[in-house]
Amino acid sequence: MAELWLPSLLLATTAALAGLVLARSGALRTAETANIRRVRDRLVPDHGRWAAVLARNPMARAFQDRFAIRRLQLASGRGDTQAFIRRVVGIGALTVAACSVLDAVTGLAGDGLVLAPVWIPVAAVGAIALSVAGLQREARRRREIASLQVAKTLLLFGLLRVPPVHSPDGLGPGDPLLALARSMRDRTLAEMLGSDQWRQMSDVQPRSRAELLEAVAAAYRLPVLAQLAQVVRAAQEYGGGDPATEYLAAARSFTAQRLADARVRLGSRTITVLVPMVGLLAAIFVVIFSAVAYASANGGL
Amino acid sequence: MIELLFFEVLVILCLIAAITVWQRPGARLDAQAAVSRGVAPLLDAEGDLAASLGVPFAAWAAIRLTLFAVALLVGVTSGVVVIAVILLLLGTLGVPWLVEDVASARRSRAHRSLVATVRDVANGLQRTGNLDAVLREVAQHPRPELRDLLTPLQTALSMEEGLLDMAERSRSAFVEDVCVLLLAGRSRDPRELVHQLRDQVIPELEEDIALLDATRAAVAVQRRSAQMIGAVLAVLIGAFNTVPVLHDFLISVQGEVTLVIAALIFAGSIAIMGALLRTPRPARWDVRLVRAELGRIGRG
Repeated sequence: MAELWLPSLLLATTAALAGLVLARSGALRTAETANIRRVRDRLVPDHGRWAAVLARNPMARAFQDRFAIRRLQLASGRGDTQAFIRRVVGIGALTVAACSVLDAVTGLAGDGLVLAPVWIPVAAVGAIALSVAGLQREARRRREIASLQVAKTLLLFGLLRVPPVHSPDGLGPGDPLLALARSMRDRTLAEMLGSDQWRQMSDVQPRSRAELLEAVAAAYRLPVLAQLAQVVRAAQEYGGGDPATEYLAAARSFTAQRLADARVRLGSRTITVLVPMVGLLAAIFVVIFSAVAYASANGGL
Repeated sequence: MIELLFFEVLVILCLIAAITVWQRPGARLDAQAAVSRGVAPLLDAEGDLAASLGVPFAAWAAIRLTLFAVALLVGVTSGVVVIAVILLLLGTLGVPWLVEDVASARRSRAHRSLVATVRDVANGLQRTGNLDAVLREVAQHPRPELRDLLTPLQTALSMEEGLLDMAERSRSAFVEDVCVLLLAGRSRDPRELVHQLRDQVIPELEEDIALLDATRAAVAVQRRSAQMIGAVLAVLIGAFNTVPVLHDFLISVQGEVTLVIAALIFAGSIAIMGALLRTPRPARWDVRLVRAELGRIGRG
C-alpha cells in the first residue's frame, strides 16, 4: 500500500510546491502579463486582492457567512480573512505532511502504516475544525476581557464628567475611552479601539458619537459598548439627565447584570460539577481494586 | 524502495519547514527575551498569591523551597518513584491550589474593610471638604486587615504617590480600582464627590464584592471536597506503603501504572471542575499610566 500512495503523495506535494514557487515568482507569466501584474500589485493592496478572490468564490462566501469568520478574526485580533485562509491551509498541509512522515518512518522501519491513507485527510479536517474552534474561543475570551475593560471606564467617565469620545469621525488617542483603554495592563480593548479595522464590518459613516460607539460595538459584538453608546445618546445628544449619573448608573447596571449571570451560571453548574467529583472518587477505587487484585494474585495480604 | 521512502521523508520535512517559514516570515525570537517573558507571569502570580496571603515575597519563596524539599524528602523515603514525582508536583504546582481558599478569604475580608474605609472617607469628606486630609486621617487609624495596605498613605510625601504605592503594593484589581477612583476624585468638587461616592460608587463596589464572593463560595466548596478526597487517597496510599505485599504492588510496574492513572483521573477531574467554574480574570489598571491619563483627561 505504502509503495503506491507515498510516491503519489510525494509527486502531488512536490508538484504543488513547485507550482506555488513558480506562480509566486512570476515564471508562468509572459513579460507583458508580468508587467501588468507588477503595476497592479503596486496599486492594489495584497489583502484587497485576496478579499476580492474570496468574495467571488461562493463556497468561501458560504463558509465565511456560516461561521462569521471575518468577525471572529476581527474580534480575536488575528487579522483579516486572508490570514484565516493562510492559517487553515497551513494547518491542513502540516497535518497531512506530519501524518505522511509518520507513515513513511514506520514504512522505513518495516512496521507497515500506522495511519491508513484514508484517515490522513480526516485528520487534516479535524485539525482545521480545532483551529476554527480555537478561533471562536479566542474571540469569546477577548470579547469578555474588552467588556470588563469598558465597564471599568464607566465609573471614571461618571466621576470625571467627560464623554468617552470627542468626535464621530473615529476614535483617536485623545479620546478618553481609548486613553483609558491604553492604561490597562491587558491591551485587548486598546487594540480593538486603536485600529480602524472595525470599519471592515460596517458600511455606515457614523454621524454622532453614539453611532460611532454603536458601530464599534456591533463590529466586535460588545454589548457593554452598545450600552455606553445609549448612555452617550441619552445624556449628551438628547440633553437628558445628568451625564455623570447616567455613566455611574450604567456601571452599576453592568455589575448587577454580571452578578445575576454569575449566580445563574454557578447555580446551573452545581449539579454538573458532581460529574468530575465522581472522577475524584474513581481515583480511590482504581488504587484499591488494583492493590486488592495484585495482593490476591500474589498470595493475599 | 527504501531510498525512495527516505527521499520522500526528506522532501516532506523540507515542505514542513517551508510552510512554517511562509506562515511566520518575521518570527525571529530572541531566546532570552522569550524566557523572561515566560518567567515574568509566573513570578507575578507568585507575588500576587504572597500578597493575598499577607506574606512577604522573600518569606513566600522560602516557604515554597521548604515545601519542595519536604516533598522531595517524603517522596524519596517512600521508595516509590511515582509517589515521589506526584509529591514533587504537589509541592510545586499544587501549592497555589492548596492555599487559594485561604488567600481569597483574606482578600475578601480586606475588600470589605476597604469599602467600609471608603465610606469613612465619604463621611470625613463631607465634614472637612479635603480628600487628602481625610485619606491621611483614615490611614492613621486603619482597620486591622488594612494596616499594611494603608501604610503608604501615612508615609508618602503626596497623597497621589501614596495612592499609587498602595495600589502597587496591594497587587489586587479591586484595590487598584478604588485607588484609581480616589485619584480621579481628587480633582472633583468635594460635595459632588461625597454624593457620588455614597449613591453610586460604594454600592457599585459592594456589588463587585458580592460578585467575587459568589464565585469564591462555589469554587471553595468544590476545592475543599477535592482536597478531602485527595487527603483520603494520600492516607490510603501511605497505609498501603507500610504493608509489605502492598508496598511490592506500589513499586511494581502494575502499581506504578495504577498510580499514574489515578493521578491523571484526579488531576483531570480537578481541571474539569476548574473549567466549569471558571471566572474571567479581572481587568487591571496600570496605575502609573492611568494617573497620567487622568491628568490629561481632567484638563481636557
